[in-house]
Amino acid sequence: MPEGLAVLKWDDELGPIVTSKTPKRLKIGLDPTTSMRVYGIATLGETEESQKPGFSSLAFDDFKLAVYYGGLNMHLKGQPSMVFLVLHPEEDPDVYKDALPEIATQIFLNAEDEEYTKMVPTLYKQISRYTQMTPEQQQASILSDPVRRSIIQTLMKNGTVQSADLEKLIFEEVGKKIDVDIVLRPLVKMGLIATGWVEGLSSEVVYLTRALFMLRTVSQDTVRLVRQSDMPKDVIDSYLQSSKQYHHEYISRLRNDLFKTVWSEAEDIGNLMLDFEAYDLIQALRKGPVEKTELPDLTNLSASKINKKLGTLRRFKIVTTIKDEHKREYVILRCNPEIVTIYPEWLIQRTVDQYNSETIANQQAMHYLEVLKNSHPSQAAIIAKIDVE
Amino acid sequence: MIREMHIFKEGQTLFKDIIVENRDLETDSVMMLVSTSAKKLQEWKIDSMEIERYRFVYMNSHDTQFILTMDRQASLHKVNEAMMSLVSQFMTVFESNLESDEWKSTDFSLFEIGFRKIVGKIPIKLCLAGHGGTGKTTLLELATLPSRGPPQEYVPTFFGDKALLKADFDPYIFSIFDLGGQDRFVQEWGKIIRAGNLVVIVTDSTENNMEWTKRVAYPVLKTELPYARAIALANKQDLPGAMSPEEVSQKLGVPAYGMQANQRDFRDRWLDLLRRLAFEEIDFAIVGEIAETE
Repeated sequence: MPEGLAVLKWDDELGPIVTSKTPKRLKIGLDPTTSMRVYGIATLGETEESQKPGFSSLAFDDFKLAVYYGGLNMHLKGQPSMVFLVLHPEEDPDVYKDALPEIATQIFLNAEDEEYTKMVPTLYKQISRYTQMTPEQQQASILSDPVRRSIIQTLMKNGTVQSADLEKLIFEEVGKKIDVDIVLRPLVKMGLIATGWVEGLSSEVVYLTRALFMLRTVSQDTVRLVRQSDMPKDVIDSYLQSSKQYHHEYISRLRNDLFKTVWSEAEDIGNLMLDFEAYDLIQALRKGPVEKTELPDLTNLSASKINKKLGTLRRFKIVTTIKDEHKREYVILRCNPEIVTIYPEWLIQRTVDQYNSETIANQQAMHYLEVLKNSHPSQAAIIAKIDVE
Repeated sequence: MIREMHIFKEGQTLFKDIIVENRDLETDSVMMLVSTSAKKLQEWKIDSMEIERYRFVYMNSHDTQFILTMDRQASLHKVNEAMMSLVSQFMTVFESNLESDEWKSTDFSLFEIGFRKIVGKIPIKLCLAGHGGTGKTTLLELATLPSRGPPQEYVPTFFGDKALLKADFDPYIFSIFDLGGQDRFVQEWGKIIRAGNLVVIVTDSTENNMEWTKRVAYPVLKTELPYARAIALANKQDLPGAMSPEEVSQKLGVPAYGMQANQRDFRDRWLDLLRRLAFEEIDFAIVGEIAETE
């Protein structure tokens, strides 16, 4: 566990100052000489034209620092621009390479009216868990974030958008002006979007390369294991019947309104996947049906915690519990919440249509078609082969 | 750095506190000009105007004009905040007096305590500029860590360092920035020195150092801090062949003062120079007006 988390901003009269920290007693790593040095390392050679926000790590005699710097723009405006994670000398800062930028982004996005100061203790508690996130949970974090979810939704409809328009869209969505670049960084890193400049356009252009959404799939493993289990036949039949009914209805909903069905519950399910206790239960149940009394051993959660989380999972129709005649209670996945990324094939025709109707700039459409061509799964394999050769 | 405050109503001065006098401009005429502009402002709006190296920040409330005189180079944002606090404090105590004719017989001089307290919350930013090895870090430590004693070996400062200094400067405190003097860091000074009020150009009193200061340091300082006040320190006066302060002054075009930063005895002189520079009691130059010398 790190020693603490601190947020710093540049004050013209005072230099780097700590605006928020947790725990309150944290002092190590925050002295003026160290913070000036870290500012120096982060900003050395940087100009307003060549912003270089990013992660860096530093080792001192008594401590280490993992640092995320938000860029010269934030520095010069006197906004929070640096997040320090203070570590023991034996800790490896690189463990926090993915988690710290995510935590810092939450802080920078809530810089207005210093809202972030209330969030810092919670974010600090979350940081260790962030390092344990599976790739699936990292994707879920996109779906649970209203701004990023809205960006993905827009891009899944239109494929490409200028970042200036995206800024307006975000403003309408969340009611405040935020730095689009910060929001997009993890999406670029996950390979969901690409950005680029197009001649004649005044702002950067954002392109969707992989669509991301959440589906409730039938867990074939669960069905097979239920069939093979030594559960009473009436329990097996009851489960299979209710599961079949459930998925039948779900597929009908998808057919009726795919977009609405996929997005209406993305936030809730995304949040559930990020709830480590609920996620541990889902992971345990993905391996097959379980008698409720076995769950404490399988998940290291207390019985009361399991009851609470199962209640939530039942409410969101992810698990079902069935009792047999001997009052033994079985917990089974009703559906498998699955976050999927797919190649957005439908956007090829959509882009052609937008080109023909001139709803987007010709250069932008051409560039996006090129991006789609290069990111096509068949093309990606060829490029990878050429790279290897 | 806030230098003065004036409060006017119906052409009469209700309150005046001058910490550092403006000797370049005719104060009465300037105040008349600024208060005329202030009268036109909406209630609680803040505006400012710049004349030479000064900035006049003004506000109008209850038909009363509040004017702060500050160094043009200092941070306007903080002075605006200070203005809001000052006027709020003033209104808390005197609002009822202003709403009747009582103000004509009210003694507002007690407001000086509140004014000076708020002035002290904005530190005077002092930048120690000079080539590596001229003694900037030693000067920073001599001022802020007197018990430590001068450093025994030269360790180049990476990027910069900073420390707060509270001494006999009431109502002011100093925020001292030691700027990394290696050539690669000089190009980074712009990120550190914004809103600097005072510049102390530190030299090791050698011919080579004069040339470096004019060639490398001056362009950055003149671009970033044209209205700041500057003096030079002819440091290392104990070394054989050191140029005298007068020679340094002549070479750099800035009033120079002798110093031996590695001697603890020089602390009082160093602090006295800082105090007198802040209160404009010694000769200094304005950075943007430093003449090119051979």
